[in-house]
Amino acid sequence: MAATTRRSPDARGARAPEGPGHPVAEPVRALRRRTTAAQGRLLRFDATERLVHWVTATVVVSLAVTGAALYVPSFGALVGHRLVVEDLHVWAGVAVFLPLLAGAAGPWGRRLRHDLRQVRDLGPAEMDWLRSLGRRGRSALGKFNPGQKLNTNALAGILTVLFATGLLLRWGNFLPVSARTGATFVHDVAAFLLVGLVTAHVGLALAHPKALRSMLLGWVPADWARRHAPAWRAEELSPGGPQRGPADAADEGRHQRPGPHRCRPG
Amino acid sequence: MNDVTGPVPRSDGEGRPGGLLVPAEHRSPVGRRLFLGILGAGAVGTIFGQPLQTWVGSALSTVADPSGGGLAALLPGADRFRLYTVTGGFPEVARDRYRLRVGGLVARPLTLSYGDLLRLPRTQLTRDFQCVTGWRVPGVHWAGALLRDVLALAQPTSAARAVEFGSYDGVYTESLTLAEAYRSDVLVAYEMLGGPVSTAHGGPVRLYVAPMYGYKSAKWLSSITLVERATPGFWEQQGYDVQAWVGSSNGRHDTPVP
Repeated sequence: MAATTRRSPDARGARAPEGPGHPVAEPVRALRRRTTAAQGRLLRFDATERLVHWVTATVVVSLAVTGAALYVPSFGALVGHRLVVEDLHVWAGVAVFLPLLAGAAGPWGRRLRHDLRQVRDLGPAEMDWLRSLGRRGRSALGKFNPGQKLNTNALAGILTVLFATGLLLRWGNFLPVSARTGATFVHDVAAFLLVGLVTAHVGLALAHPKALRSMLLGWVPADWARRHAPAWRAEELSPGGPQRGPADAADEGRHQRPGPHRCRPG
Repeated sequence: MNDVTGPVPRSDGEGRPGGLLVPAEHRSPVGRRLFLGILGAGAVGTIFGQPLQTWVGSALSTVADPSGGGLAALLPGADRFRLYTVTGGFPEVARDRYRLRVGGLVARPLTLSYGDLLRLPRTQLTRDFQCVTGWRVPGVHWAGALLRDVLALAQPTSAARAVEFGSYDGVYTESLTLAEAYRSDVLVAYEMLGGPVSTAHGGPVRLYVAPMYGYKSAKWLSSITLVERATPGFWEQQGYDVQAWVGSSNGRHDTPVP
C-alpha cells in the first residue's frame, strides 16, 4: 500500500507497487503529475466535484428563491401561484442531495469521496490552528482548512435538517400539530442559517478569486497552495507522489470494504 | 489498518494535511460532532418546537407585526400570518365596489354590498388562527356578520344541504355543510387584527371559520352558493380534508385550538 495516492483518479494509479498495479500507466501518470506541477498548477477539484458543486448550488439557490416566495409576504404577493411555487420548492428539495450522491457513487467520484472523508475530523495541529484563530499551525493546513471542514459539516447538517423537516411539512400529516409547528419553526431557523452560511461562503469565494477559479477551472497556482494549503502542496509535489499515512488508510478502511478490490486501480 | 504497509509515519502531524499521520484516536471528531449536533437540534426542535415557538413568538410579539408586515415579522418563530395566494397576486377590490352574491338553492337570490354587511348584527370573536401546515397566530380579533344571518336573508330552500364559496381571485373555492354554516363561530368577516381586513389578508370581506384550519377561511369572498352537494375546495382537491376541524382532520388528532 506504499505510495498510494488519495487524490486524482489519475494519481490513484500510483498505488501499491506490490499489488496488481499498472506498470505502464504509473510512469505516464507520474509524468502527467510532474508536468502539471511544472506549470505551477495543482488540481484542486476535478470535473465531477465541480459539476456536483454547481448543480447543487443551482438547486440551493432555486430553493432559496422559491422558499422566499413562500415565506416573505411581499415577495410571495409579487410571485403568487402558491401551488406552483410550493411544488417547485418541494421537488427541488427532494432532489437536493441527488447531485452529491450521483457524483460520489461511481468510479468518477473517487476524488470527491476522498475529499469528503478529509473533512470529518481535525488533527491536533488543526485544532491548534482553530484555537489560535489561524495564528499557529499554518504549516499543517491541508487541502481544506479547519474552517472549511467545519463549514462543510455545518452545511451538511443544516441541509439534512431542512430536507427532513421539509418532508415532514409536505408528507407529515400523521404528526400531531405540535410537531408540525416544531418542524415549521426548525425549517425556518435552518433556512436562515443556511442563507447565512452560503452568503459567507460566497463572500469568502469572492475575496479569494484564485480559490473561486479552482471551482470553475479545477486548478490553483502552486504559489496559492503555498500560502493557503502548504501541507497539501508539499504532499502533491513530493518526489514519490502523494503519500498516505496509517491514519488515512484506517479512515479509508472504515468506509471501503476491505478486500482485493481495494487494490484494483480505478 | 493492519493490512497497510505504508511509508514510515513521520513522527508528528506537522507538515501533513491536518496531521493525518496522527492516529485516529488522537484526532478530534469535531466535524462529525457538529453534523450530528445539528441533526439532534433539528430533531429536538421538531419534537419540542411548539413550546419553543410559543416562547419565541411571545418574545417577538412586541416587535413583530402579526399581519406579517415589517422585517421583525420575518424572524422564524414570530407569530404572524403567512400570506397565501394561489393566483398571481392579491385581487384588489375597492370597498365601495365590493359585492357579495348569494344564490343557488335559495328563495331570494341577492347581492350584498359592503354597507349591507355592516348593517347586519355585528359579531366579534377572538381566536387562535391555526394553519394546517403548522403555523398559528394566537388571539386574533375578528368582526363581521354571522354567515347564518347572511343565509337567512336569502332563505335557503329545503333542497339546500351545503354552501360553496367563491373568491375574487377567480380560482379559490371552499365549502361547508349547511349545519357547519349555521354555527355561531362562522363569520363573513370585515375586520381582523383590530382593523378592516386588508387586501393581503383577503379584504375587504373574507370568510372566517373559527373551528377549522385556515384553508376554510376563504379570502376575497365573492359568492355564496347554496347547493345539494358541495364540490371539494381548492386545497381539498390537493388532498386536504373537506371536514377541516382543527384537532380531528387531515389524519391528525390534535388538541383543538381554544
